[in-house]
Amino acid sequence: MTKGKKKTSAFVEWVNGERNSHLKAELHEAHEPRRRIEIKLDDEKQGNQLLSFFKGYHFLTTLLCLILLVIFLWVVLSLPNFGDPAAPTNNEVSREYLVYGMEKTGSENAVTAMIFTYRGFDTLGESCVLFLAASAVMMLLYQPGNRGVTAKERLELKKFYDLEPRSRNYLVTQMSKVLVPFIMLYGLYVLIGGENSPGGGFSAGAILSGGLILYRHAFGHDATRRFLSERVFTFIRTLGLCIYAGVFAMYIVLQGGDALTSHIIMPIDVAVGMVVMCTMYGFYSLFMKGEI
Amino acid sequence: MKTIIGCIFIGAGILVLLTSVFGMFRFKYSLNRMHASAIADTLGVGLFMAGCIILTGLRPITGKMILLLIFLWLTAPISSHLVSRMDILTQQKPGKYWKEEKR
Repeated sequence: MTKGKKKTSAFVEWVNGERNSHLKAELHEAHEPRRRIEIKLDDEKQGNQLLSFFKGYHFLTTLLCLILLVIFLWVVLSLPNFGDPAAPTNNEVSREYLVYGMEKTGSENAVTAMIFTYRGFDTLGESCVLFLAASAVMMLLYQPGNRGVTAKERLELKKFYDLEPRSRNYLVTQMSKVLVPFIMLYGLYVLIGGENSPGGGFSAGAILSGGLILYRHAFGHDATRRFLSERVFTFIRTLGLCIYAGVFAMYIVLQGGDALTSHIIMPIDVAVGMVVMCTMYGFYSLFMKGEI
Repeated sequence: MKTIIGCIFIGAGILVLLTSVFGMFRFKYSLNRMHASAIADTLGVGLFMAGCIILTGLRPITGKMILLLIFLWLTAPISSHLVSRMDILTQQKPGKYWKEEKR
């Protein structure tokens, strides 16, 4: 804007793109290239070892994939025909689950009853996989405040890792003020209603973590850290797994008593929801910022 | 009568969705394409849901449809806004889409 010009109204300035000075700053920042971190090797010998390892690696992975392909195709060939009445899936077991499932487990939702009681071990394994995945990502990417680096390196690291937007978007903030409470409420409804209606721990955890991610995206890391710090995060996901393992061990020790089965679905449901929520939110947070 | 009005609404919605699909494939630049797809997100879905609401009449599921419509109308414009904003911010030539300041 030149000095001698007549002062235009705010709307005209906005239309001409002169009011959005923060957008221009963002534009400048967006056009700066991101720095790449180069892998430094100690000496040449190590580099050569790495190269030969990668040569063998490609060969072995191709071989493994081919072997697996042959095995799977062979298995597919020996599958029974679709809709075959004599197939082993059409036996009395599924009828047993559908007829006596509700009476034995106390859950109207046959899927929940299957997942959390009859197939409880499998779900426990799945929860463990989620827990371990979050732990592995934490091991690789966790950088709490980038300890033990100089200020310059910290700046570079921040530039490299910090993928969060520099300024909050007004529209997103206002919209999430309205939507996040409802999303969290709906997630809790799916979590608690999972015993008797469609839903359950996995879907509820996904919805809850979606709400958390939206909140984080709209209000930033500092706002989320007030109630979901690293300690709380670790506490929640460990507690979830412990509740599951404890309840299921109790169930097994008491020999799957029918009196207990109707009560174990609810705690297992909540535990799975906790683990899933923390895993998904942890992935987002670690990939965005390098800390919880 | 109710059926006819509902069918008209759903047909209009399908027409809007079709135009947006054509726009997605006909337009050249991403912002023009965003314009076409945003129409489907708001007007097309709105007409379609209005037709469904008229067809079902007053039932509990109608309330759910209205909630769904409110949710879509709250979120879809903002998501398309964010995508187009990101498109502007990461352009190779920044002055491609808007007028440069007059000196």
